[in-house]
Amino acid sequence: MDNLAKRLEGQFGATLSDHFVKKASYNHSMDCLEYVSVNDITVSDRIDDFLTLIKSYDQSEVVGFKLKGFRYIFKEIIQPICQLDDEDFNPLIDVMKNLFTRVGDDVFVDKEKRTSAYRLAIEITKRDRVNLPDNLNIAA
Amino acid sequence: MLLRKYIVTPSERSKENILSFKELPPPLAPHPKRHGELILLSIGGERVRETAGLGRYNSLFELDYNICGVLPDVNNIGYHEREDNFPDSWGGLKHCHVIFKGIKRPFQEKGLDGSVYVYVASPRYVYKYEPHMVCVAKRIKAPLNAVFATYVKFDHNLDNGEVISWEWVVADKEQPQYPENYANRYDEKVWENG
Repeated sequence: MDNLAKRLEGQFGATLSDHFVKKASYNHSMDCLEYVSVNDITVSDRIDDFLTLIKSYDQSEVVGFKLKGFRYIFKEIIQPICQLDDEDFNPLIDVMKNLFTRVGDDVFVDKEKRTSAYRLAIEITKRDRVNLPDNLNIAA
Repeated sequence: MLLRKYIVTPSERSKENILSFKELPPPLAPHPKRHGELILLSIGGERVRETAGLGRYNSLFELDYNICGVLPDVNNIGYHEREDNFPDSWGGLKHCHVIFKGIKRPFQEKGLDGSVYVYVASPRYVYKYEPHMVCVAKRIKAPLNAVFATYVKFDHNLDNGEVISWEWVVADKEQPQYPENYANRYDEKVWENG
């Protein structure tokens, strides 16, 4: 990846990370906040004006999300009401990035952990022939 | 003094490294309004810096191949395709078949969503990041039921356009060459091939 890294730095002033980073990012040019949990080719599925789900290559599972129009909402709604300056947008979006990184991690990373923990619990109950109450709902 | 000529300091070396790169060529694309004309677009740095910083290599390969029409700049490219037809001529924005204007969503400030153009293409292939000792980019078939959308912002006279983002989007079920729900998600169709 040396050539690619050199070009990115020389042409765009970009630093190529040597590993995939699971983190929410905000794109000013597209006015959207994006979180992607996999380093793969993804397909965007537009749900409505504000939300796009990011799906896996075969579209079988949701692997991320895109929330659109943060700048718009700031300019048109928040700024006039709260009498904020343009410079107030960046700290606000930094908070949003942190918040949605946590949301993304909760939904996509912890989901895997939770699912495998439940699977393990089900296997143990089967192996040890544990009788579970009828009203206990285990989501695998 | 004579020796100085042959000593390369670390700062010079890093400068030399940065300078010795092969620049990504500007993508050539159909002009959205002047039918039959092609236009050279520029590539906006923000999305590139964001993508590079997050190590989203697949997205960078899409920029190389699906937008600029060149092979990903990695060692031994073509290694995985050595038994196949390689290189191919499916890459690049010049193969787009329809352009929409206006993304019809909250975007920066009131009215600005109408200034974004969406170039839609159905490339046969995409390059996927593959952790491999010989070559890290492997050509695979494009995702099924999806089209490739490139977002471009033009100046007022439509003389200069800048690629601001790109992504695969779900294709419409009835018109699979267009993005899903294309009639409601864009303001207008401004160009179509053929």
